[in-house]
Amino acid sequence: MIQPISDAELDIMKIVWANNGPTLFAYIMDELALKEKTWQKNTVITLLSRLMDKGFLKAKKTGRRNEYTPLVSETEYQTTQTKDFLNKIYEGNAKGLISNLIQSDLLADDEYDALKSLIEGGKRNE
Amino acid sequence: MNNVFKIILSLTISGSFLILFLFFCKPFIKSKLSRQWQYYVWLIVIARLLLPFAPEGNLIDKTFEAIETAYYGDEMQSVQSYQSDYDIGGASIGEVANNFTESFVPEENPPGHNPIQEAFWLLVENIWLIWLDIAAIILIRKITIYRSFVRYVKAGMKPVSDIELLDRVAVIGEQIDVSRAVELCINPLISSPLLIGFFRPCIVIPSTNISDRDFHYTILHELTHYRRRDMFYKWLVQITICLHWFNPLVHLMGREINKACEFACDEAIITKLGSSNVQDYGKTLLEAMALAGQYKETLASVTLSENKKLLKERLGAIVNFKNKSKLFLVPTLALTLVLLVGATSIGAYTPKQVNPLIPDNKSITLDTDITITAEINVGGIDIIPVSQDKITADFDAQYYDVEMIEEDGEWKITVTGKKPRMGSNYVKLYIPDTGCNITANVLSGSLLYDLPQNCKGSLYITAENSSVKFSTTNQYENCNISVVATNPYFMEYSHISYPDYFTKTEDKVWYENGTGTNEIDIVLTGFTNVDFE
Repeated sequence: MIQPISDAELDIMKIVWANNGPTLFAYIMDELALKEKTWQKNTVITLLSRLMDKGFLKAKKTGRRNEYTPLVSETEYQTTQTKDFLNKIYEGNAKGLISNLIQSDLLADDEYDALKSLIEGGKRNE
Repeated sequence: MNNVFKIILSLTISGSFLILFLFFCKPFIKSKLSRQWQYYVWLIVIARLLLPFAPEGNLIDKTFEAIETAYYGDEMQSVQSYQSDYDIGGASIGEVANNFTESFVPEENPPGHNPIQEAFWLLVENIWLIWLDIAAIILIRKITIYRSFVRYVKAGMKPVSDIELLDRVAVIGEQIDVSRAVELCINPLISSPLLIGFFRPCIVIPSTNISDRDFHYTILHELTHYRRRDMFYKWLVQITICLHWFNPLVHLMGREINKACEFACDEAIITKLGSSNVQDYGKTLLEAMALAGQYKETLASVTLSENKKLLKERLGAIVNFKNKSKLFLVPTLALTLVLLVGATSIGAYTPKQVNPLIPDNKSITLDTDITITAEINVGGIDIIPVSQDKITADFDAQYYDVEMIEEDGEWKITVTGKKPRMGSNYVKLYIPDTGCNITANVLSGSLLYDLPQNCKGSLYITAENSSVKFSTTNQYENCNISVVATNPYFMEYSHISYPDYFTKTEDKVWYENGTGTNEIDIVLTGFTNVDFE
């Protein structure tokens, strides 16, 4: 089961996911700084170890530096989060979610087209 | 008594002296000497309580030796009443040993055959096992309690996700040189802040809804505990308490160290803060106190406030804090030195070296009186007194296993034959010709003894399915000899040959001559040939 993570932890996961592969601690610090998140080193270490406890990351020591590899992919995370969201807000009713997205103009035109072709493609595959 | 028990007893006694000394000094040094010193000085006491090393000839060791001699002296007089006066090499041996009186009464039961006595000595010999069992049980209990407490705290805690608070913990950590990242969690079930985890420290606070000042000092306090490794100290104390569970002074010491720990922590913080922030820190202690009071379990976890009385004392100490003047450096050093010297000179009981086994020709030099206990199991032993002051065993390793062990001034010699028949291949045991006390138990074996002239000593033999043979050059001069049996049949059907000046009654063969300083008592526990040449 994928456990919920805090916003700060998600920030770090996004950096690791975006990096596509083992990520060094220094790289995470740099990326956080770019997002104007100048957190203390030990704070980030604490967050990283929480992520490891939750099974999101694993650390590999190369020399004196830790390399972090994701154990949960971004898609996996998004899927579980969406399911949770769907269950919580729409009681599992996906139609409600989609119609809300369309009706409240949350979809740009190209996104709408892409979604449409995705749905039709899915039907064709059946 | 067993050596393990003697060691622990000696450690507890010498440790108690040091504890009493420190308690005695406490009123004079309490507010004068550094709290750090008052905290860490207990390490000397703990070292004394745990480490069984001490220089030779220390006080406790000597005392134990004296007690031992007296103790075994008593034991011999009351239980082993067949002992008699003896000298070795003309020199008198051990004052107590010399007090043995000739109180041998052959009709009495041999020693140790009384079941109550036997049970008593068995208990004394094994009391260390009981002690160790209880120590282990207490330690396991403490660990279980601590672990269930940690589980309880962990079950209800959530990591703090507020980055600002985490950053502040990190900054405070940096300020006081804590390099490790410290986890921060919140658990509304606990009453006051605490630190758990030995290697992955975690500060648990009851609530994040506290003022910045309180948060700051709370974290500072807990991190200071962590930096000073107080957790390890606390557990070291707990282990000491478990090992010395029977000593109430050690329990008192544990309580005192717990207090001293908080005082020392406060002092370290105030020294760092400077006196202007002292009041704020004191206020935080009070705030923490206001929250406290939901549960009592503080065993070996480091909490911010332990109880009201202690808190009052701590506030007093904080308010009255002044940097200790250099003047107090001299008494501090002097007191430390006194304790160190005290700890080493009081010392501990050090068990006497057990001689290593020497193969084939075994020889052991003697410096005290000799008591030999020989177990002969199959095979023969030829005891030959010669003018030397050591015991030597000469034998063929092909036929025999011979073990010579010294324990408390007693030689335990075990002769085990490897083959059922060895003809005349005997173990030759050379002993000092001035005589010594020999207790021998012969089982399916042979014992030969050439009695030396002017022999002083005692010989106590139990024999079963064996043969015992004596030779003399002076017609058993000054000897008291008796042969009895545990069953009249053994007496009747065993072959006993003796010179015509011996007396034979229905259940006993005996001879008394001169001073009777050489006692020979034989108890037949089975059919045995006895031959007095």
